[in-house]
Amino acid sequence: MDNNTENYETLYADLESSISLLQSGDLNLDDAVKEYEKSLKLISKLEKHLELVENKIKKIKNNLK
Amino acid sequence: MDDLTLSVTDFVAVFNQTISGVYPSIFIEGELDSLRISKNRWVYFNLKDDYSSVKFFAIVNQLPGPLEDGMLIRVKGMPFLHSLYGFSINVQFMQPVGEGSLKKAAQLLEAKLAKEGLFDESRKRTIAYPPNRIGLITSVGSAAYHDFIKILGDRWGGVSIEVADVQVQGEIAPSQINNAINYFNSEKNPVDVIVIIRGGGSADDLAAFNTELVTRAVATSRNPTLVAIGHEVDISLAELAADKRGSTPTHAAEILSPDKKQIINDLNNVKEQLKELIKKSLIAKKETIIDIKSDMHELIDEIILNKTNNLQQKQQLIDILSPHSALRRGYAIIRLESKVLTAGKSLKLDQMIIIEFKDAEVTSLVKKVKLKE
Repeated sequence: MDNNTENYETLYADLESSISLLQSGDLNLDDAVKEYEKSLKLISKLEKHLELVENKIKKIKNNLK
Repeated sequence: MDDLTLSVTDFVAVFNQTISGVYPSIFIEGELDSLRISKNRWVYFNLKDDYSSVKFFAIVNQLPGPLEDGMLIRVKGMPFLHSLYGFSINVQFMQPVGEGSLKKAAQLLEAKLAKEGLFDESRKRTIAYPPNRIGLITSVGSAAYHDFIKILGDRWGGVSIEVADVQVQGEIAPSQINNAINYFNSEKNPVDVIVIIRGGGSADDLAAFNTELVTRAVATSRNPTLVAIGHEVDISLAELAADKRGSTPTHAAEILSPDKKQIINDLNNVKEQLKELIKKSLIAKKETIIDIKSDMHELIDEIILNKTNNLQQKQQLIDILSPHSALRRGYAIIRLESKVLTAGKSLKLDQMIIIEFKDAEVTSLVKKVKLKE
């Protein structure tokens, strides 16, 4: 479970830095297009992650009485 | 037949045996009277009504919280004849009853705990957003449980939920809730947040969340706590003590997690914005190229114009220097035997020369040659 969330957070952080790179206007057109394609891939991964990953429920066995 | 005669001690034993056989537990409701706590351990009080009064005995941790004479109390107890100190009822469980008394009890407890600083804002901790692991304390099978699990699942994934199935009202609720909190606090790998939820109910139903036991457990929990109780009456003390409070179990799920539908929507917006950004960049690049092209055309046109002017100038010069131009200006071309003469020195008398004017050719004979100094 931690791995999944870590992945999500990593993906999100990567997307944020990709976007700020594109918005900075510092890239030439070729690099910008490459970065744009990278962003699209990240977004697609994030969306897949959000749609597929589920919660895990476990009842504790301890007697609490 | 002789009447049965017992020793005093035997009587006490028989009495207690009989009573505990018939009434192992009995529920009595009455007005609290003469409440007295001794050595911070033993609790003595009476319950009375208009006509009667009965003595009770309890241990201090059986008190749900601070109580006052005059409050309406419901006690589960065991009648007991002490060998020396007379008859009283040993308390097994006690709780204020009726909205009035419950409210009063909550007020007393709130005052006591507020004095200790248990509700201070400065004690509140932030909760991981979203949490990786949740310790959930609730009655599994209740609507509250289903609502929370469903809404959380709709909004977010990847969360690990450990569930402690407890009573959320009634006699054993406070100790079960307390034990569950202690359980989560003692785990080697602690959860990110302990979530305690239940649905709405009467003041009586919610009483467990106004007990000192539960309120202290929430306030002193090692793990951050979120308490959400659906209700229309006053906020419970457990909610006041929690790090975060939700108005309903559904609201609790909303507090804990982002909404993935919203995020997917945002991501799609970002995709569109990036598309526009790239489009704009491409258009800008295209325009730059078009500008450059047009600049180059202008440049080339200029160069051609210059060269043309140059050429024209040269043309004019050639024109001016040509013999035809000279003729037009009135000069003549002299030829001897079809060869153009540029000087007269070599001419002899009676030689025939052809003089070309702009309008005629004149044949003449040389009569005299005079050299210039």
